[in-house]
Amino acid sequence: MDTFQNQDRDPEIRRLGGLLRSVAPPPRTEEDDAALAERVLAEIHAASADRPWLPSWLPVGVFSTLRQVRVALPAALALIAAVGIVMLSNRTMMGPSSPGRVIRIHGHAWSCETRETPADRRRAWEPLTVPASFVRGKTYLLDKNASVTVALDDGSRFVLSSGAEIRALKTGAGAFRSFLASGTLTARVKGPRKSPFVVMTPNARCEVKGTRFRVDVEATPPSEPARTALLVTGGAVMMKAREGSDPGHLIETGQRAMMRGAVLESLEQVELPEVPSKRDAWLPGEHDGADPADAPALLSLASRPAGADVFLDGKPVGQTPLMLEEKAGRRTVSMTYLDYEPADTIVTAQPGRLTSIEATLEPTPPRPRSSKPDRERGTTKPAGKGRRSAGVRSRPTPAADKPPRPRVRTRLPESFPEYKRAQAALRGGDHEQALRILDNLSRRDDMAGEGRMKLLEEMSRALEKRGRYEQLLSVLERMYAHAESDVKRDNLLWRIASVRRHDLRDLQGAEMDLVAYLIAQPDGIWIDEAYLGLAQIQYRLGKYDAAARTYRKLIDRAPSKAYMEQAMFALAHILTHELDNCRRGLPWYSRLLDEYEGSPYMERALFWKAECLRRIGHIREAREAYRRYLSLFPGGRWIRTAKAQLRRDRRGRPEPGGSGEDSETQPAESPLKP
Amino acid sequence: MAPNSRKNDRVLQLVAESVRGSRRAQNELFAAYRGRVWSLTYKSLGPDFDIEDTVQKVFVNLFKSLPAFKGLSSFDTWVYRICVKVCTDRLRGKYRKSRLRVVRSPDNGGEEFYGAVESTPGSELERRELEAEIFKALEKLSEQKRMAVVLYEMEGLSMEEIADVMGTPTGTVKSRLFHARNQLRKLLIKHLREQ
Repeated sequence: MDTFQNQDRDPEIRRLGGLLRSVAPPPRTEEDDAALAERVLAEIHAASADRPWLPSWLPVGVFSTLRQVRVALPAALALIAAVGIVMLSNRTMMGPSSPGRVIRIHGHAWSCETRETPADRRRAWEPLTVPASFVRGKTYLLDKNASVTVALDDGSRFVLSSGAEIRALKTGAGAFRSFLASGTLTARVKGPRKSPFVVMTPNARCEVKGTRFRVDVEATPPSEPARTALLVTGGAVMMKAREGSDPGHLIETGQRAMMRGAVLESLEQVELPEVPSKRDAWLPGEHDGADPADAPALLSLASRPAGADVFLDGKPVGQTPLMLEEKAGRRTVSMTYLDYEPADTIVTAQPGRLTSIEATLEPTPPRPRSSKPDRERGTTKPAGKGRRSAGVRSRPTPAADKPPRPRVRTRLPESFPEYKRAQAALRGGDHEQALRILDNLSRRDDMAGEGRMKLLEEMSRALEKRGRYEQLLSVLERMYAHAESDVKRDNLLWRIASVRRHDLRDLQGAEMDLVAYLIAQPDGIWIDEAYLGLAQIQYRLGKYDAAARTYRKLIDRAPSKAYMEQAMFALAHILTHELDNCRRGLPWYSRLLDEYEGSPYMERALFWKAECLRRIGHIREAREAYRRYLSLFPGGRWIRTAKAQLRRDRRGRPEPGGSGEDSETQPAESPLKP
Repeated sequence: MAPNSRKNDRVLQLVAESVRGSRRAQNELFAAYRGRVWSLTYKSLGPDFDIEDTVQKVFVNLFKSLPAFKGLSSFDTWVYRICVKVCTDRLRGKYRKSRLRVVRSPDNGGEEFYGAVESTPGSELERRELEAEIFKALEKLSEQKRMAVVLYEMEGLSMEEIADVMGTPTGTVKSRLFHARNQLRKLLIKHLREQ
């Protein structure tokens, strides 16, 4: 019997041990270790500093001590009570748990503490600049022609315009409530939400759980009742009077309601396709400053019956009814529904305008089954090597062209004796034989849909284990064609891109796959990873402009903290090092440093910020940044360079040999190259 | 007093001081264990992961849970336990998000960033290729088998120590190791016969 002890005597196992022991981690310098230690300790101390109720002099081990003397429970209760009292007595000092973020400002805007009286506000207004938080307890005021875009943590966005004055009442933890005193707020609210997105106006309360709408508050003299106009461009919004026992009115897509005082003055249907100006565009501020021709077009797609698969230029985009924000131009729209004739149409989508398409699908006349199952014939392949032009589903040929075939009853794989042979071959290690059988079985007409998926999955596992990635890709593409659920398709698209990128090292193909993923799954599970991966590939391929744009899009999506830090640093790095544009890169280093203190990129961001400042001639700020670098990172990678730059700037000439010791990391004069 | 005992006393003293918030003691503790943690992390995860980030996570977890260290097991075992847990979590994370690779800083001109082939001497390149194959083979093992092999074959821990670290009976460790070795032998057979 083969046992563990016997195994120890096996020469091959001994060699295996030697082989495994030969693996050694790459060497590290003491500076690397010192920097790592610095970061670890900074994170621990920052974590304890994050708790304002824990005095800094309190030792970290106090809780274990308390537990040991069995006073933990009363102490914890006392602590909770104390924190509660502090929070209640001074709520505004605690700050929001998860605020919104001002991501774009056009024109002039200001903010001030809401506590200020109107008289004090005049002198308390401070100019609003990006980055800024949209936080509870502050009032924001816009110039008449200005617009401000705010992104919330859940992906919702809104744009303020027309001289808006807004007070944030509640932000963070999935809740949002604000008071719009005047001006316009156009929102795209991501749903479903746990708590509603609420915009209060002087006379109305607009409450939504996931939709697109616009609220206008007219500035009226105090003697007249306030007027609030609400236009809903997607979903539905509950509009209630703030006073009285108004049960509320449900304003639906394409309706415009006007509330005067507590009375719903008018409710009219508006023609959404007729968007008269950029002011009325989807989220107007998002496209301000850009060429109007670049504004996206809106496509409203509907079908009878609803639920048809929609393909835009051959790429699956979802199921009807569907509202899409797409690039303007000539687009081919196809809709398919099982047992219905597909419908194709070519539309010219106008920038900033809504184009509605409604299709009535005709049932397919009864016809004998063809040699291949329906889904096998009509497939939409993801983009990739050899599959650049993703096609629409092929048109079924008229029934008369084909000889009649008997209808086949489908079966599951387990009912085929070949399947058992394949399993036995897999167990016996004869993968070739097993793959051949599984492939043949998966192509049978009488194989049930779920059975075919199961076979393909087994094939993909076997191929991946054996490292046959080209074949794996074709199996994954077949699986994609048969996948029924969106989640499955989402995962398969991502997997295809991953295999092409990491296993086949086909960066061009992976780039196409990721672009296809971004188009096909705009709300996909891997959407942030796809943006990040695409940006990395574009960087690797030397497409620095494209990489910068992709990183920018990822940042605009406000992804998780780790991705945000990574994207900001990479964007700043590309701008300063590859595109040689310190002025554009500098704000990103600054934003990273301001918003993500303690980030793993902090050291590099601070140093390169100092370098950028020096290069654009802001010597004083550069010196401050170098000093900050030296104080925060006494064991940092560029301490000698920083010291040399400080000495050099003081003397007005280069320090001879001042940075010789870390010359491998010494930045060149121009462009910034490490 | 035996040197081992003296060393243990010193470590326990450092632990106590670190719990009290002494930065010097924390630094010393970090210096004492950084090599072991770095090595185990690299061998457990391979070059596709951000080792520095993982090591940072291990030490942060370690320092945060220092007050809970009761001295029931040796401090080394305790450090290994935290490290194994963090690495296993990372491996599971990789499984969930299949093939999400690490992105390092583009500071070094993007070469390190994107894992480009480096212009290294032939032997070094061969070593790296072999190492890549070893990690590829290790990837095929389950996390628990992989950790057992790493701790036993690569880190040189005894069965009992591994059982203590992984919180399983020694028999289970032996069984995992037995199957893991067999699997690895099949995957790396050409290197075992060539030698």
